Amino acid sequence: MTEIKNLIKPRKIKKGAHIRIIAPARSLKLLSETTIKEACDRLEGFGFKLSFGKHVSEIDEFNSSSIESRIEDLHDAFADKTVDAILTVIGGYNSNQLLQYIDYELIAQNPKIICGFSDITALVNAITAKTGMITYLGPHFSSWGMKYGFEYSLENFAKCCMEEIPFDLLPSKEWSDDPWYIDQEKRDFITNDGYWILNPGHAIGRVVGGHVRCLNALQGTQYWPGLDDTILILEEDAEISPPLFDRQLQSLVHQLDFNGVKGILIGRFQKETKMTREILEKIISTKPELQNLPIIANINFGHTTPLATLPVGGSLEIMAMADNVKIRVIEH
Amino acid sequence: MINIYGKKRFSPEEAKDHVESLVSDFKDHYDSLGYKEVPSVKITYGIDPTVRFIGSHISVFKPYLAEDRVPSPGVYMRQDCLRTTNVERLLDDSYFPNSGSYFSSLGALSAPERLKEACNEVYDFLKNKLLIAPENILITISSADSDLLDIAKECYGEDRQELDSRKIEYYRHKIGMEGVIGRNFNIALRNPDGEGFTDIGNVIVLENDKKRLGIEIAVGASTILKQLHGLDHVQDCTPVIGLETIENQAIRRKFEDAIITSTVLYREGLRPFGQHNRNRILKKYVRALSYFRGKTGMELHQLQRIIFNFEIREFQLPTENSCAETIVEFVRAFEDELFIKKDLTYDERKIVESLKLLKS
Repeated sequence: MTEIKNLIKPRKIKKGAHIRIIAPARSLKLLSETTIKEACDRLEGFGFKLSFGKHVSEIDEFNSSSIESRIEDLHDAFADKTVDAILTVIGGYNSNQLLQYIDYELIAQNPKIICGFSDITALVNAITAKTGMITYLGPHFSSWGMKYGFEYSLENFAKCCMEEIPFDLLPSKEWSDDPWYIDQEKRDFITNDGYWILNPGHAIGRVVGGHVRCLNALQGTQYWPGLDDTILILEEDAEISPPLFDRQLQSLVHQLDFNGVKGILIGRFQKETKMTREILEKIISTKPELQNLPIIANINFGHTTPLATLPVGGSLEIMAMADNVKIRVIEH
Repeated sequence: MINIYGKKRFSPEEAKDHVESLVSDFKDHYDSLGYKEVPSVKITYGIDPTVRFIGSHISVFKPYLAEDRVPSPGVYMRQDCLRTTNVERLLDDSYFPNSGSYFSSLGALSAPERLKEACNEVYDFLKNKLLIAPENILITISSADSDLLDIAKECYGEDRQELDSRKIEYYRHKIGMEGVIGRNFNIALRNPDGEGFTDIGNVIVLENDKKRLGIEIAVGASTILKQLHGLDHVQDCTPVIGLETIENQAIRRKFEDAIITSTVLYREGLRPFGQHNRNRILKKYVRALSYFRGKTGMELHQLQRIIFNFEIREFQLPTENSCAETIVEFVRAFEDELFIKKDLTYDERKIVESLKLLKS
């Protein structure tokens, strides 16, 4: 039984807030000058003041930097009283290297919004597990560099990180899986066919999850957020395939506290994964443990764009009925 | 109407000031005696693994006893507490809760050799600080505790003692420390109509089989104010404005209790998730809000306004820090779940029936 820490809600940010950019996974150097400029312009145009971690541009053979550098930037960002929120540069592969070096007490004493996704899943779930502070799966700093098709991401970031009130997470009208960072003018938007109800039902729970392999890397560790009374949110990137996703999902099902899961939300898969609704339904149908859980898929989070912001440690209600589909972010 | 203490009931708007004034009197009194103040802790802090919630200041004082380092003259504190004995009977319409779950406890811990002084000090607090006439104070005590009896006689007067009127358990305390027991006498104040007495606190000798460890003084702020001001209920010290018109007093008081307890625990960051008992207990209070709003025909927006107003008055916080909307969102979400869920429990069926009344 995992102890669920008392909730700490970081203060919402307003226009004029000071946002610190840090690179707990891959380096800022990985981004093109154009993307960096677009991201800065959009964030500053939205009214935020930006600063960068001291080591954010360091880069090694893994396109990352040393643990010491990344930890120093993370701690500085939380310790600096002038910093209101933290955005991660981009994902990667190694933010879980940091977990044993993080000063969680420092974070608990200086709660502030930290937002990113993908590899950042390990970091934010661990922070929430160790401190009780809500953390956010949402746009990286790099995501803000998208010239077109960012409105939905922006709107939901604002709802989650800038406003207090509960909100319904609605599907975007369009989505995209193109390499927008290579050619901002050549975009391929696809009409969204909406949420897929894979299992009906209703659930209330606290949010745990994100990138499935990064979440699963926490299994059996002190950073595991526990699954009691949770809505699991699961997403993957282009490296995954249906059988590999099945393996990861099965691994979650085997967790001793999996019977605490109340519902599952699955983010839209990238085209390259070859995941379809039929295959996903087949995967789910093979697991009796999932049969009585409400499951909704094709949601705007993960590695397609745009992407919603979701609060790890916050609370969600999901209604998955044929005539009534709702994903309500109760507390964020 | 003026009562035997020369006081009258205070309005809900005045309640907070009265509680704080009493707390201030207590602190001033013990501070002037040279006691050191100990900071209070969150109810859900977990400092005492033997309890789910802090239900007494003794949880905070335990380290002094365990390490045999109770200072002289002593330490004192105000501690907000939660005792959830009502929770299992919230949906029992025949049950009237005489106490609320949430209250402020005022406590002091004095050095073990200061039994006589500690007894005198609490008497002095009642008589000289709160200006309670000696004839309105009664001690209930066991003849088995001759040491306490001798000192209480000297301090309070022989005619102010009620001897052996209760079973021996009434004069014994357990504090969740192995080998430590407490022997106590209780202090009662005359009821404001002049008839009978009601307990407001006690003096406890804490000891193990080898020696005395300390002297604990415990008084309840709301129980004292209830007596002095002739309040209908201890919860009138933490009033929930907007429920006064509910005719069924059992429903009203339990509805208040559920609002107060849910608000206090949400504010501390506890949520009705997880397998731990304290999370499950919170969930029962939150679900009871649905039952009571169904019983009293209250819409969710009205409930939210009532919680919000309670929170602002009781905790005097900025409006953006309110948790009223979050609580009501949970209430609504749990209600949605009940109307979809199959195989409802007995309590869940009761809540659904109550909500159907509202919808009809």
